[in-house]
Amino acid sequence: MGTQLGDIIESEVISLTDLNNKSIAIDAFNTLYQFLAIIRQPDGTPLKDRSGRLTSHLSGLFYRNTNLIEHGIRLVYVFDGEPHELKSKEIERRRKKREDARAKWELALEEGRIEDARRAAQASSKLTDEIIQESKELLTAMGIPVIQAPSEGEALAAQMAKEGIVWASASQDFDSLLYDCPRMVRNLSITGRRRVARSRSYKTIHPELIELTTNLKRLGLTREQLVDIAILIGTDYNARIKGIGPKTALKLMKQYGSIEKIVVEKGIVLDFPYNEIRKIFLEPPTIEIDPIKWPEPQPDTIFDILCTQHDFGEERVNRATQRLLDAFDKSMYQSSLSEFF
Amino acid sequence: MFHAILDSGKIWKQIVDALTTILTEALFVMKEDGIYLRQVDPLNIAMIDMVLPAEIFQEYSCKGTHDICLGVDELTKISKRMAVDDKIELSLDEDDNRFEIKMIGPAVRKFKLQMIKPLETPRKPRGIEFDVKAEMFADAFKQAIKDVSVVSINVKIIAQNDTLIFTGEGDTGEAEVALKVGEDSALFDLDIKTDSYAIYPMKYLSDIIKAVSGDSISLQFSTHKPIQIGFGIAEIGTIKFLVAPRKERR
Repeated sequence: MGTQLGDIIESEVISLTDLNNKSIAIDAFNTLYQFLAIIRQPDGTPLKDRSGRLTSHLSGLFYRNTNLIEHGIRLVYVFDGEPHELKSKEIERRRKKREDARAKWELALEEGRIEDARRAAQASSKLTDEIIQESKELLTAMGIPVIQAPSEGEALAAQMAKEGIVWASASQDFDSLLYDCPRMVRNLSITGRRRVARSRSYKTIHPELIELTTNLKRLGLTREQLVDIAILIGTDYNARIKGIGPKTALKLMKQYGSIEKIVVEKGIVLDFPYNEIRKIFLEPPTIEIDPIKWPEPQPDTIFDILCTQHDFGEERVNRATQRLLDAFDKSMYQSSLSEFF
Repeated sequence: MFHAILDSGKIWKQIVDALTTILTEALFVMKEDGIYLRQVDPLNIAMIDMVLPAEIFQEYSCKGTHDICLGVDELTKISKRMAVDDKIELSLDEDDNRFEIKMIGPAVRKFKLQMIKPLETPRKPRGIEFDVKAEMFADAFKQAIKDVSVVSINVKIIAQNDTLIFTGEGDTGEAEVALKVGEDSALFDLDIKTDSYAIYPMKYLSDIIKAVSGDSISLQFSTHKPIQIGFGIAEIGTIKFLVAPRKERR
């Protein structure tokens, strides 16, 4: 879920064209959850193959990444490793929330409340080992490198952006900024026309670029203070302090400068190891990463995963695979005008 | 305030045909001395640079500068409804945020297009030095591109001595078209600072030749650099396309 910093962080609306010829490390778990949540039928039923196995994630990974690659964007997927032990409460909370959502979904379906069913279904998505494994296989077949993070995927994506291995990281969560990611892109995988919940209308979602330094300068904060604000309003490792939202936290931080002074001044008792949580964001585990190489897509493996194993329509898959191969050819052998001026 | 009249639907069709080749949204900049458009395609491979001086129009008035962004699909659909001898009246409804295209012929037909919010700002002019400049009949260029497209998805253009060569190869074979500069040749001027060659994507060139409306064109390029394809419109207007080269396979 990440930290809800949206109210104080400013972003710039950009187009996919602006990301042409740029490499982006995608927070894999975050993106897979999005696909599992939104790629569903009107009553919330996810896409499935003839054997009843989920395929929403495969559909999202294949078609939406193909679209991004066609725009000349070079993608790398970063998968989460072992979660920090402090995350166990949050993991348990999410499990409970999924179970509740599943019960609500089934009830709404029984009662014929289709829109409620869809909404509840979206919150019931679960990422299984099987989904993760076949996602990695499909991405590899598409020529998209897959990297395994030691802990949080966002932390490693941030490290890659910081070291210039990629241009930016992509996630919906603002935690990337806490991990010192200089540049992050939101809405990358959901860009385009999307239906507005409980209405027949559509809205267009554009990618948004968030620059850490620009935001810190505008807010007059250090990154350490931004991390403290996140801790006050709640992270994956601690619950929020009652009565403190992003704007109040910002005001308090500007006034007192650190979490220690705020708790003293406001008489707040912290019942969690805030210093350890700080460390999670300020000193995440790093690994050595070589420069990324993008291999050629493997059409036969794509066909095998999608059509042979999961009953996707052959014609549509073949058409998209051809687009993917054309895009690969372009990215390898076609220069872009920006190289010349 | 913007208002302009063109006495021929043909010119407007030519303008829209040029936009269709690489754009999905057209961002016109209406100024007091004419209409300007400079945009790159979504893949950043080609750029169009269009200048339509006020004198092209039978009537032209524009106060201040207006950025007008319109969907190219919509412009194309409307242009298909035009007769070549229709008089075209263009105006801006600033209150309703709409662009009006009126076709005046046997009937007066009026279309109002919703203006869209551009995601891009107009590109600034960029100077590129070219080593080769060729002037030739537009039709000869079109035929050369069509000939090479029979066998290849790319076209290699070579300028050496007094000759311009268009060549390509694919799984099925090879093609070559050579044009030597001369009085009776379709290539009437060739200025080479240094022998040059570069490969360009056929898809872009094939689309661009469909939009070439003038009798002659100018080509400018250098080794492994973009090619500029320029031609006139309505005598004093200009349209230039810039296309990035392919990288050679090793």
